[in-house]
Amino acid sequence: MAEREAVEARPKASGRRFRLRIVRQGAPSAAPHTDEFAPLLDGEQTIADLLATIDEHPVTVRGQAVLPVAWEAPCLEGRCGLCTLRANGRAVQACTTFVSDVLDRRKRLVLEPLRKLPLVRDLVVDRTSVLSPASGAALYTEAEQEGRDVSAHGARRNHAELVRAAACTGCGACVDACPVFGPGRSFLGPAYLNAVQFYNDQPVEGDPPGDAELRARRLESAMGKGGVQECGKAEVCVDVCPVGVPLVDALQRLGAAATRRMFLDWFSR
Amino acid sequence: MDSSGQTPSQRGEVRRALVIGSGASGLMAALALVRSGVPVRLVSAAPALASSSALEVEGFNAARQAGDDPTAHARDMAGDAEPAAAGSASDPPRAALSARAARSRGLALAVAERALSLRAFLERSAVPFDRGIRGEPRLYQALGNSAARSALVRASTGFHVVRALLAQVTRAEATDIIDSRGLARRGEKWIERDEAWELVRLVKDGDGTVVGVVVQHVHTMALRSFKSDGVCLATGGLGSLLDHAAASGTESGSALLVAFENGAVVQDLDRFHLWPTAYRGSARWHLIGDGARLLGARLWCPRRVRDERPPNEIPDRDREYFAEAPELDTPARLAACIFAHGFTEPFGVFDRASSSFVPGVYQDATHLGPIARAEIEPFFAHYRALAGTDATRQPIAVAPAVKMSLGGLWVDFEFGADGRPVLASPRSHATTLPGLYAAGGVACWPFERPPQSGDELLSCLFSGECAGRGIHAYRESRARSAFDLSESVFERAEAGATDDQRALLERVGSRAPWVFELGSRMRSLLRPLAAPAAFTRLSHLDMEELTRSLDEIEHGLRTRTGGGDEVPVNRHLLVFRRTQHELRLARALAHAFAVRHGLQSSTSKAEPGDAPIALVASDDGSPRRLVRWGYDAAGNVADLSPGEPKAGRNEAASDNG
Repeated sequence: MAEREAVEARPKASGRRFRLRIVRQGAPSAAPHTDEFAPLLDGEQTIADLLATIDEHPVTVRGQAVLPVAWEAPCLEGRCGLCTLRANGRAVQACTTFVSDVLDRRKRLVLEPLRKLPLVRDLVVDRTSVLSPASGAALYTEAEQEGRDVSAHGARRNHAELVRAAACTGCGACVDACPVFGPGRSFLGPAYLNAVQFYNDQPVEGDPPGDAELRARRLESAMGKGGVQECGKAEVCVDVCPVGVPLVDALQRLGAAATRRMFLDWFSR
Repeated sequence: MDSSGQTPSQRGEVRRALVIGSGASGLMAALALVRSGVPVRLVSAAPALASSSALEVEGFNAARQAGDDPTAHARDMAGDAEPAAAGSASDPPRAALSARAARSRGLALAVAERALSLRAFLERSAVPFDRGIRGEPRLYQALGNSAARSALVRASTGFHVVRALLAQVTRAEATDIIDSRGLARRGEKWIERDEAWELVRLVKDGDGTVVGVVVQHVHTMALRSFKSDGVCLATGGLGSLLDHAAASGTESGSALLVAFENGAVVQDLDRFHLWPTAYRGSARWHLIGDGARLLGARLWCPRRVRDERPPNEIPDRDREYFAEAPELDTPARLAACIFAHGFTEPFGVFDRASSSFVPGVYQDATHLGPIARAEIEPFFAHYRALAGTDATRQPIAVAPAVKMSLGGLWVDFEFGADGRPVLASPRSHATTLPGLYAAGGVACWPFERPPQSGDELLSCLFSGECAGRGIHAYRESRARSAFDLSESVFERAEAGATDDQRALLERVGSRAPWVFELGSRMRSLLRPLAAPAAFTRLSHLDMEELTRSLDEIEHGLRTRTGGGDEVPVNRHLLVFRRTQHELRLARALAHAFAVRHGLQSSTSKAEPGDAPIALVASDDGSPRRLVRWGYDAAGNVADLSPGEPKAGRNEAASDNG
């Protein structure tokens, strides 16, 4: 995200209009179509603000009154990840991205839902597969055992990195940008693999048996079909992530862990 | 009845307990039920990370350091001063006030004592609380706390807590139910979760006991019922009704209204908790957490009246720094302090955009070195994203905003001989509707003091546990299960909801952009009530004008008609219903305001022995005050109206602290 030093740098409401196209689809089975609008360009509007404005009077450039657009932005603060959509082909968070920052050179904007996730309606997609691409994904700890303390010093990973890895909201921007991820393809995706590594990095005192089993299961899920070895190293995922999750670092660590495990398996035969 | 519900119903169904709402309280209630051996159905209208608790910026309190203990924590939560002597004959007797205060302290002690194990549970669930340089847990002394006991995850504690609780729920979703014989019930998991249902109706049996709900799918608009022995509402507070700073857009207050209109008593709807430092975004207020102050940000206002200089150009000698005493305040006192410094005419902050002075003060982090700046950055991250300004290079204008509604559904507690609440009781967090429980924001905040920084998330989790265990005890006490009722009870409820839906569609039509006009009109009507400037003008609030405007809006909602021929796959039907609910909630709110002459913010002067204001819905849905809701001889808060039905409880007057 480009750093802006002062609000004045962004164009104020100029009275000019720009071309906005929204790709819509009433239901997964319906045919997609595009509605075109001509809203006023306001330098202080985010994409979420723009959608709210359109919703108040959803009338296209041809004067046709259409159904209000289905979209979501519950937190309006860039925390929940549910407003992520494609603006001029790039996955961004609607609530923290300003319209004037995503317009193309001819001041046009196309809004579409994230492409590789199942569509619900218009700009709303189903995000469950971002963090649960395979059933049996053990993205949790065995926390119920009281008396098991979290080790203060045994962290396998620098605490600051852990916090950044944990910031993943499952928004789907990374899988949208990833050239290897998609319907019909096996790659589990950067978000899931980051979560695998995050949970495997959890500091635990004494290494209780339940944990070791879960860690092994997670690692195996990341070594089989669709696992970390399928990552194409394009590194676009870390570029689009709205909350700065160190995805490429996670994939590297996971790859190293997978390789170690593979050798151990080989030698223990 | 088998309380765990592991004995299937006569029709072979698993008798799951229903939890509505997947924020921190709902997730915790679900986990508490699973721990008690009760299978759960968790439904909500939005994903867990969209909840308001996921937006919490304050930390999680647990007394842990040397010199700190749960008693001190409880004292900060509920106070320990004896209530002042009553004045006139009509005031509650002193003994009754003492009893009430003692119960409040007992509850606070129970929460404080549970805090450490809850925090350990969160850590084991992979919440990466801040650590010091040697890897030791880092604790902050946040606003209102007498010791360093707040654990934070930078500026995203709520997000990480909800994410971790959700992971534990996911674990339960993947685990087969093991029945009392130790056999796994194949294909049935401990929790079934579906985050696409909005509550439309409660289903009650002939005795008025809540036995289930009717819900609407937020995408397909399909209506269906769910049966349950014990329903837990964890749907959040009044939502964005008053331009709440910490309310997610998914928190609408609708479920609270549904319960209210079914006869549940709500308490203190006019009480709100202010957070001192916030700024106005395009659609709502956004909070700046106490962590910013703890990490070095200072508050100041210009000394000179009408100083038009940009804040960076105002030198120290022309600045009045305030609220810097180390033994500080509570959030309420800091907010009052900010009101005192920045909210009297002529106002202190010059707004370049409008070329006028507006109420507010400056929060300043420009004096920090690079390391401190990097630490404080997460607290200003959304400010940078939304306002385009780096708050560590330029002071920013802040003002207090409404953080949460303190009122909500009245919930019961049973107190033991040790003064602590008994969780294994059917009264634990029960509302006045039998079978209906409430946890988190939808329930009334139980203490007379508003929350200190770091107690809100803790309270959400504790109330979730209370409700979960209360439902478990309730199920034990039930002779007959909702699952063994005649299907017709639920079919009738579904049919009623379908009829309502049809009527709604006829009014809304399939194209109803004007709905947003009405919704936004109503919000703009109610916003001034929450705007910081309003707090200095409480006495001038015109209740009559508010009621008139609400009448106008309702009239507008009633007389508009439209076509209804399109298939009802229109999410804006949900918006319309929520608007209607907001309108009715606004009326209840206005009624509460009228009783106590305005909005009671945490900075309002508390009257000693102030009796809680309880409202209940009349037959036509309009709010009615339980006027004689006072104290009986035993010091219990109860409805004293002679001959009036006790608000739904079967036992004798319940004692709520």
